[in-house]
Amino acid sequence: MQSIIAVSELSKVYASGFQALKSIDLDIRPGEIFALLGPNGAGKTTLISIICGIVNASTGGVTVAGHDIRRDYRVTRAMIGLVPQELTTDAFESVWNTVSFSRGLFGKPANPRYIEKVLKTLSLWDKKDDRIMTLSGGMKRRVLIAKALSHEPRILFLDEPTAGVDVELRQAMWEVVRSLRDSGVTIILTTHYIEEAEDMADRIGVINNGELILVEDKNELMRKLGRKQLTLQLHDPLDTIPDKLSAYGLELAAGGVELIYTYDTQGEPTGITALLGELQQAGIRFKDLNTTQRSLQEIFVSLVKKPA
Amino acid sequence: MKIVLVIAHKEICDALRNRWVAASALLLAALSLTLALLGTAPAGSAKASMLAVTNVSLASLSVYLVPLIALMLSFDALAGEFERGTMLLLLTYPVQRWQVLVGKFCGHLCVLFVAIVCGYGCAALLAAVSGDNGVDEWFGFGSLIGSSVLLGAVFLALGYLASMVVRERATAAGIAIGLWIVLVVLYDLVLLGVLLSSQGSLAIGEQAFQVLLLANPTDAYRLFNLAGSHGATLVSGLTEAGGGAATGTLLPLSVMTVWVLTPLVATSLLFRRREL
Repeated sequence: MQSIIAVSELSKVYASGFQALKSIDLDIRPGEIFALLGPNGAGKTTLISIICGIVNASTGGVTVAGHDIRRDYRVTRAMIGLVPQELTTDAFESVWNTVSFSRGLFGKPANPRYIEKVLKTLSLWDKKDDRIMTLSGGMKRRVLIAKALSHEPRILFLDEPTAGVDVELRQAMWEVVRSLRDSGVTIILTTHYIEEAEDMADRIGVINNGELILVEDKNELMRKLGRKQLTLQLHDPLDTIPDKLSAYGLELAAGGVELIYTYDTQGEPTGITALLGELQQAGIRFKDLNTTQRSLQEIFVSLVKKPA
Repeated sequence: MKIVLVIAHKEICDALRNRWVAASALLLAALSLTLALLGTAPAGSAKASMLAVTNVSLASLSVYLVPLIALMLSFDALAGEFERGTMLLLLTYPVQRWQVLVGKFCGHLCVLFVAIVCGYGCAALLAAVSGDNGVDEWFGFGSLIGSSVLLGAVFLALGYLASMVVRERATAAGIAIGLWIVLVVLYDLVLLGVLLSSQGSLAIGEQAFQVLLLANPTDAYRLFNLAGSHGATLVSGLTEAGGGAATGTLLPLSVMTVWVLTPLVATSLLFRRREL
């Protein structure tokens, strides 16, 4: 499948000497939701800023639908909508005017019907004549999304779109994002709420210290790295793990009353049946058991903490 | 071109919405009417028409007010947008940085034009009612409007430059005030001091004095308006200091045009090089 955004050997060194990006290669597929995760200062915003044309790359290149972002900046920017991290709006302007102004800057003819549709989708129609300064933070965020959608973009960048937004509004916004994806818009989002990425994204990229350390299909990533743990609640506490069980890499927890076995879900066999058999032979009885899966958050933390 | 017009339109709408146009026009109208009604007394035996006297009075008024209004419009234009973060979003659109600058300049110039025409138009209407004005005076009035807009353009451009060289609007405001004080107030005071201390025989030479006078856009504006009309020359004495009719009208206009273009180009270059 031809990528809608192709980033090739992209590097950025700021005037201060700080290297924000180190030879990034990335392909975004049309119609997907791509979540870009990374700790603060990892280079997420720099990468987005370069693709959107507000920061110049030091080396490397980016194409959007086959068009170079520098040479064909009009074409590429017309395909992109950006919802920035900060709430950057003209406080005294009305919702309708600010969204219409954005559309005009893309050289598009006025289309009140389309703007109405966007505002209604984002539950902003009732506020269309209100000044932005009178809106709540969540509503302002929606105004920014409306501005980004005003010119009917094919690609939408959402840079921390739910930061500071309450749970209810956040869920409503994700509904909007899903419906946009369903209408064919490619969405690239950065978020600190990793559970959102886990819930929303088709693919996940992890960036750290300016390097893209992982790009993977979300389900594949969870399958590969999402190891499970089996926790056994023991009848009688153990001081040490018997030598016979050392091959399983067991851990004792909760003062010796919990025995934890970490296994690979893709492993064949997983070793659970054998372990339970050996526990019975060793006379170790348990009163309860449960399994937990490693979350994307844990995967993310383990990736970004890994020494370079 | 369409992008420039969209940005200019936005600036005009903003100025209308936040009453900039109305406030500027009302201020200029109130002062111009006051000058038209009270300012004819000093004409004395010069027998200049009401419009000629008004033109001279308005030229003096413009030197102080138009730069102030222009700087207040422009000091925030770039620094404010950078500070609020709206510039960042604006630059993700398919616009070039020079288009943002030119769009803002055109919009603000329109705002100034409307304010000056409406404000000074009141005084012109009053003079028209008096009925003793010749073609020369009306031409002078037209020149006054045009040159006032040009003077405004000079200070708009300087305001943008102030707005670009710093990152905070408060600092830009400080620079704008400094520019106004230096170019509108202090510069003339220093020249006056030189003139008075020399007691008629200029140590720096008359030609150098004329160059210094012309080098300041506000003085160039004054010379243009006071040398451009016979009626105005009658009721003013300042042109003699600047060489009177010798300077003509083309030179002051050229000086002001240079003062518009130079800061604008400098701002555009700095804007292009700025890393966001």
